Amino acid sequence: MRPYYLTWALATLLLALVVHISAVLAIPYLSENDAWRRLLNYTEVNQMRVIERLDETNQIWAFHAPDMKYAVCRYDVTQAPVQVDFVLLRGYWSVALYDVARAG
Amino acid sequence: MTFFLRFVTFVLVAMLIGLGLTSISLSTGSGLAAKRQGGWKSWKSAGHVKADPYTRAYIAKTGQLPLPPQIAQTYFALYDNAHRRLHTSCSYVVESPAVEAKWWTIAAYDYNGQVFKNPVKRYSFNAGSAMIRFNGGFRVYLSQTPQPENWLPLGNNGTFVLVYRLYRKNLTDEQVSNEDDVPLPLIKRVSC
Repeated sequence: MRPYYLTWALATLLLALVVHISAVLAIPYLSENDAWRRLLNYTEVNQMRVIERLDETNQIWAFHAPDMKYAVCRYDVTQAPVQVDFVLLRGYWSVALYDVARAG
Repeated sequence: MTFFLRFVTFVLVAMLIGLGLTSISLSTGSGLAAKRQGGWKSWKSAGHVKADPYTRAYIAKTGQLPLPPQIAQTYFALYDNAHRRLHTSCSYVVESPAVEAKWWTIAAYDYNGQVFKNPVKRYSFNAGSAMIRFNGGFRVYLSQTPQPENWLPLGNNGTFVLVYRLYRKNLTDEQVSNEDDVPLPLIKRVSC
C-alpha cells in the first residue's frame, strides 16, 4: 500500500473515532426517546402521578418491570424545595431520584 | 477536483464508520459497557450518578428508567446456556437455585423492551407469584403454548430478551462491582 492511501485511511479512522465519541456523549442530551421525554405526556410538573400497572397497551418505558406499580413526579426545585410524603407500604418499595441530564 | 471528491468520500466514510460503531455499541446485544455474568449481561452503572458514557447513552437511546444498582440489580439475557439466540418459536426452561434476595422478578420482552401480548395477561413471575420448589429455587417455562408450573407466554416477534431483577438489601458501590458470586438462573432450550 502506498503511504498516500495510508494517510487517508488513518485520517478516516481518526475522524470515525471522533464522530463515535461525540455521538455517544451527545445522545443523552439529544435523545427524543428517553424516559424523561416519554413522561412529558403523562405528568405535570411537581405532581405525583400513579402509572397504571403495565400491560401490553400501557408500556411507557422500555424494559419496564411488569409487576411493579410506579408513581412518577417531574419535580422542579429551581423556585422552591419540593416535599414528598409517602405512606409506607408492606412489601417491597423503593424511591429513586433522577436528574434529567443524568437520566442514565 | 479529485482532492475534493476524495475529501467528501473521506468524511462520508468516517461518519458512516463512526455512527455505525455507535449504533452497534449501544444495542441491547452489545456488551461494551455491560458486565457478563454466566450468560447474563448487567449494566452495572445504569441509574447510578457515576454512570459511564456508554451506559448513559444506552439508557437514553432505549428509553429505560433503571433503578440504581445499589437497590436493584438487573440482568439481561439474549442467549440460552449454549449461546443460541433466544427465539420466540422455541421453548425454554429457566432454572434457579434458592434466591437470596428480598424480592425478585423475571420477565420476557421483545427487542424494544415491550412485553408480549397474551390472553392470560401474564408478563412476569416474581417471588410472590411463582411456584417455588422444595429446594427454594424456581423453574419458569417460556413458550407460546401453555405449560404446567410457571408458564411465561412468549409472543411471535422473533428474538426476545429475558430480564431478571434482584431486589436486595442496599449494596455499597464496592459490593455492586464485586458481586460475581450471585447465582443466576440457567436458561435451557427445550425444543424448537
